[in-house]
Amino acid sequence: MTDILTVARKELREIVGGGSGRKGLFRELFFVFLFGVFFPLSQSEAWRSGAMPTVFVFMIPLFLAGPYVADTFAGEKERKTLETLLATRLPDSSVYLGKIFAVCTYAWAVTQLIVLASMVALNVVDGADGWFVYPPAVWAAALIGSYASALLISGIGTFISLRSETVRAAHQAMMLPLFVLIFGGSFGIGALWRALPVETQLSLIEWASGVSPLEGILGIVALLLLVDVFLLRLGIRRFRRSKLIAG
Amino acid sequence: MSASAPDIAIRTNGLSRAFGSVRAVEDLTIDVPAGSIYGFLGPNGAGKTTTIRLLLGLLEPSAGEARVLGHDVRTQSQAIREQAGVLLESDGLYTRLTAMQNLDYFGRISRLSAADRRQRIQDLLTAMGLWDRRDGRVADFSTGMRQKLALARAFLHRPKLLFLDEPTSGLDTPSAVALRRQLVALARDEGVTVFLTTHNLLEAEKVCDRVAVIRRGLLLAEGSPKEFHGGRSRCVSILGRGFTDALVVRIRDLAAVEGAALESGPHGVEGVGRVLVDLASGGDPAPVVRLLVEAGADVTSVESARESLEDIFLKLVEEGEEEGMIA
Repeated sequence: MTDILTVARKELREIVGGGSGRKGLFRELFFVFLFGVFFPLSQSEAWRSGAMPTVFVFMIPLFLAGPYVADTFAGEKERKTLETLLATRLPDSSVYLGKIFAVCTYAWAVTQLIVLASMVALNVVDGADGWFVYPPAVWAAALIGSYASALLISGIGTFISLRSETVRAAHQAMMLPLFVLIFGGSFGIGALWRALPVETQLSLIEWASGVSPLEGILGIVALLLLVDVFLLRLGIRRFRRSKLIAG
Repeated sequence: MSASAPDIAIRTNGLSRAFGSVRAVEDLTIDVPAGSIYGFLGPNGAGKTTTIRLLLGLLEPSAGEARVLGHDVRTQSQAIREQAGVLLESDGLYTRLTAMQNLDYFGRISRLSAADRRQRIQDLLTAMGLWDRRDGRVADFSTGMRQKLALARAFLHRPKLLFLDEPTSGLDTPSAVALRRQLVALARDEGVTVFLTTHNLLEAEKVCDRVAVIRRGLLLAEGSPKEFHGGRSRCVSILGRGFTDALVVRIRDLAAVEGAALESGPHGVEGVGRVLVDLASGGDPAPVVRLLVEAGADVTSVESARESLEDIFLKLVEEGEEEGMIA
């Protein structure tokens, strides 16, 4: 665990401060303003009902983690730092998990800032009926759903990043899974729903009516985590020194 | 292959690595004594970097075996990397981090305690002349400064074995000289083994206890720099007057002589000529001088024109080239 934290610490340092500096900070502030202030104030009712923030806390980590996971592996190859890192005593799995942990923690932390900013914005603009607080389902989605979502894109991104020779190539290749997850998620579920027989739709609605929003969120998160664990295991198997050096 | 004796830091036996049909390293058998500086020489693409990767367990051998510090490269590579410091082809520094942050990261990886890490970083950065730039981003460093920082990183955890790929490239002359002294001191005083690849043959001659020449993955020659010289012909330069082509033909017929050539062109004084004579191993120049004097030539000086390691290296590589072409 110490090794994972050592790698993660350095990665976070590069993501947040070390490298990108003001440019990096601007990116985070932009995200917080866009998703934490602009959207909530544009559609305050949808945000107050809890549906919109729930969707956003699953979606935002995809945008935040995607580019960094592309950079973290392909970037090390491009900047020729990977071989020196692999020539240390660090086990393969610690390097891999440390990088994933850093990217996901960053995406998760910025998502929490966005959730808090959106709640503050909604209260500042319309706080007449008392202090507004998101329901537990939104908090569950924010606290664990966003991490599961970041893990999902990181797991997928690892394979792309490891196969890409340059950061630019990795970023371009990352667009496809991002589109699939974001648009495929919304359009795909709608299309799947319409393809179901009416009887099945009715029985699903009946089943869902007995499930609370919190239980629903926890169910989705559990499913996501299962996929994440599968992807991480695959990633650990793929991330082998000998394979990386031999190309 | 039996377990390496403690006095052997690296032992390879038939070590080979192929990439498809390309044999990067072939049947490499070497012993690197512990506490020695071992020069690994070869032209670009000779297999030097692949050999280092194999010895660090970063690549799996296609055939053969190797033990480094008593550990098998196939099954105990982590133990090898734990005790090895490396400077590879690329300096491997994080340009977005500062010099301090780079070393701190690798110190943590090596599990140095916080106090030891701080002290060690300060000592090394000071020794490398980089302490004042400790908080500067590596992206703003010159090539020489980056090389020094990468060397500091390689020394950081007091490794028993150093793999250094062209360590003096990018360094100015005083820094290169200081580094060579430091390497010799590390080997002599602390028993650190240094596996060094270099194109600077003068450097290899100066610091290496043993030298290996590799080309297209094949080991062409191996031994101490002295053995390299001793096992080959000795060149003698004879300066004087009255040297003729006919005399040179007679010199070539002498038993101890492998070759002789009359060098034309001015030698400072009018009428002064020079004969270059290749003597067989252990050969004596006296019969050559006697022949010249008896033939009426005037010999003013006899100097040993010892071949440099560079000459020997070039000959070896050319010989290897010819053999390869014949094969």
